[in-house]
Amino acid sequence: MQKSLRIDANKCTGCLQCEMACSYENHGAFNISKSRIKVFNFESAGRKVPYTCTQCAEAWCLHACPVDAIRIDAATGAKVVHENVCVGCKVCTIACPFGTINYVAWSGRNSTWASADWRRSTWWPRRIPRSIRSRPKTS
Amino acid sequence: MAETDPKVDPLSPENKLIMTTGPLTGTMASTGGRYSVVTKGPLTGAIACSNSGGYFGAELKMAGWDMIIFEGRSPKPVYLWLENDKAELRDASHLWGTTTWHTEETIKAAHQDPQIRIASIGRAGENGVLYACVINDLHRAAGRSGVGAVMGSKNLKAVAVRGTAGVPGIKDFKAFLKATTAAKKVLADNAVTGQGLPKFGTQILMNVINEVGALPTRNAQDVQFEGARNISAEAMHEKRPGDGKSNLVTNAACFGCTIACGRISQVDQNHWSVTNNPKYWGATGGLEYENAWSLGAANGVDDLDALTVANMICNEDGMDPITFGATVGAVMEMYQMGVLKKEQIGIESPFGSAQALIELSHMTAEGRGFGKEIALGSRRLCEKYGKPELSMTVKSQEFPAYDPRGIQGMGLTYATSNRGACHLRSYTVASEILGIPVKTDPLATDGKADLVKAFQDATAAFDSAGVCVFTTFAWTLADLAPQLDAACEGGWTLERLAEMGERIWNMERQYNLAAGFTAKDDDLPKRLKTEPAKTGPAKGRVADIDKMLPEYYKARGWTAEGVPTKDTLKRLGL
Ligand code: SF4
Ligand code: SF4
Ligand code: SF4
Repeated sequence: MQKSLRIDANKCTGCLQCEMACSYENHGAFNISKSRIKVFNFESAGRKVPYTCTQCAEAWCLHACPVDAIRIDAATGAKVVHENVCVGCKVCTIACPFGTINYVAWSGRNSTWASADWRRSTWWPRRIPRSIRSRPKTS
Repeated sequence: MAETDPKVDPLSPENKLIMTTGPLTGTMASTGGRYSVVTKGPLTGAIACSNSGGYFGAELKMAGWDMIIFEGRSPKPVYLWLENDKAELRDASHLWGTTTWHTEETIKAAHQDPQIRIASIGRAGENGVLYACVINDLHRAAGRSGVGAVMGSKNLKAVAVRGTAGVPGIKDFKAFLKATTAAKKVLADNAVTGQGLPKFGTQILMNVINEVGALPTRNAQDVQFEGARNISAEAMHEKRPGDGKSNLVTNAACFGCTIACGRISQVDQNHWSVTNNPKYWGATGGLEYENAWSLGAANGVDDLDALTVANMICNEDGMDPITFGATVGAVMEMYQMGVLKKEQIGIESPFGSAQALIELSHMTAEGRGFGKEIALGSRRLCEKYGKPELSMTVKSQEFPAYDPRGIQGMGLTYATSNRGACHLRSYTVASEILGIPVKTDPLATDGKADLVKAFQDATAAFDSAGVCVFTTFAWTLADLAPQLDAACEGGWTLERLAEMGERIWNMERQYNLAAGFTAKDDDLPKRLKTEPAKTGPAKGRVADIDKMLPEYYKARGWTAEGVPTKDTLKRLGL
């Protein structure tokens, strides 16, 4: 059965427990730079927003990639970045309409770009999705 | 502590500045994001140890650093750039003379990385304001005793960290996740940490403490403030007439914190204090109870947005709002008495003047005019103008938002705190007012010596573990011990933690004794001991410190002069 995450960004406090849990699940380590979830802080709006890949049906990132590093996993149907194929061109980060594909530095931003992972942004600024921007916070 | 000579001049190159994380910092333990700044404090001349949340501490740990020790003095302004194991001092001449907000933005832009975490000083730290703090993540502060002034004296503008190495070395991951998950449930199920703090923040206390008659008002002339409601948590939630919005935008958490007491506030853009100053228009760190008290009740000011702006100025330029606000309270009293005139201060400064508060905040932050005198703190300022009795300090540090005439245990807490008057080392308010872990009578003195000692020892353990002291509303050492034990070697039991806390307390005490402090310095301002509370449940009461102090020394195993006995030191292995 396929499941989906429902995120209510209005409730987010920015504690980063989710990033910690994600890095632990995927890498067995407490290291938020390895998290697939990225919580963005919109300081002057007083908003924290957790971003995860939305797994679009029509994945723009996948079409944009010049080296076919983003592929559909046959078993789950998920769009997955193959780190060993990616050359670090960042075209996918521009293509993604939600800004959820991110570049990470942990494998060595200044040295081996080709082995870069793609889930943590070093690029800004970023806009709050309209759906979240307009909703008043209830807590 | 063996690092520096206790006699050292706090602002000389010989003093050292230590930034340190705890074993749980950067882990999945709730609130595990804290770090401390330890040095000899310039305000007090005693040991200083200021603790802060935000994200900086966790990032430092993720970069692989447990502790940084700064020695000497740089010939020119620098900032420390840490990228995992790479450490580099970089030129900060272009940042000198600017605020912490500007510094964070500039460093992040220069490195093209918004994920960098920064702890910096503002102009207050550069100008040697004796209660300057170190600010991280724009509005989190290692606040008290002037640790920021020590940083400034070293020409160190900021520490910027990017850590992508992670936190290795958890002893037993499985046991750790089990223990931290159980402890998070305790926080979630508790009324204070699960509901009160996230909804109202520490500001939940404003009306409570006012009602029990322990809200020091107008430089502690009164113990109840008629304007308390206007500056309370409830008021922060209400829509204001000006722009129809509430002062409070949302709550926010520090790294790893499942409580999320933090306040994010926004003031009305048409408020007179910010109309020409768009940089204060955005949402940013809002009022905590201590700041709402020190900037508000202590000065008789009840303009919520003005207090929020004064607090922003304190964050922006890195000043401790407790000492700053309480010092303004002393200035206002001297103005009222005619000791200080408008010409000297530069503005009419009667109690209740929000205009004076805002103007003096700017002047002190920027090192202008009379602000240079407010920068000294109230003890030095009041002595200079011949009114030492108007300084509400212990060991030269202003006491915070609980009047010992209405909460007796806090009197003993202030008098014996190793870093000068402070509420965070033994928060007996929890017991005396909130009934945590057991209810004691706030007006009684019996049993307070033991209570204070137990709180001090436990708090020392919590602080050094790298978790937030606010967890103690729900956690006891029995909740902390399994988390620490799963994370580190050493067999961390409840008893061992309590003993460690006691050892820390005695070591700090020894440092202060070597620095020249004596039992005479374990005393409260005369006003609290001689001028009875005028209203409220504590009406007619003074702070009975003289009764509690000898009992406390005894409970600690110290001599009548407040010196740890040989037996006590031996028992603690010191
Ligand atoms: S989404 Fe993540 S950062 Fe936001 S509150 Fe939940 S766990 Fe914390
Ligand atoms: S950055 Fe990597 S995954 Fe993204 S488009 Fe370029 S090659 Fe493809
Ligand atoms: S309780 Fe408040 S101060 Fe403590 S860690 Fe959580 S948000 Fe930070």
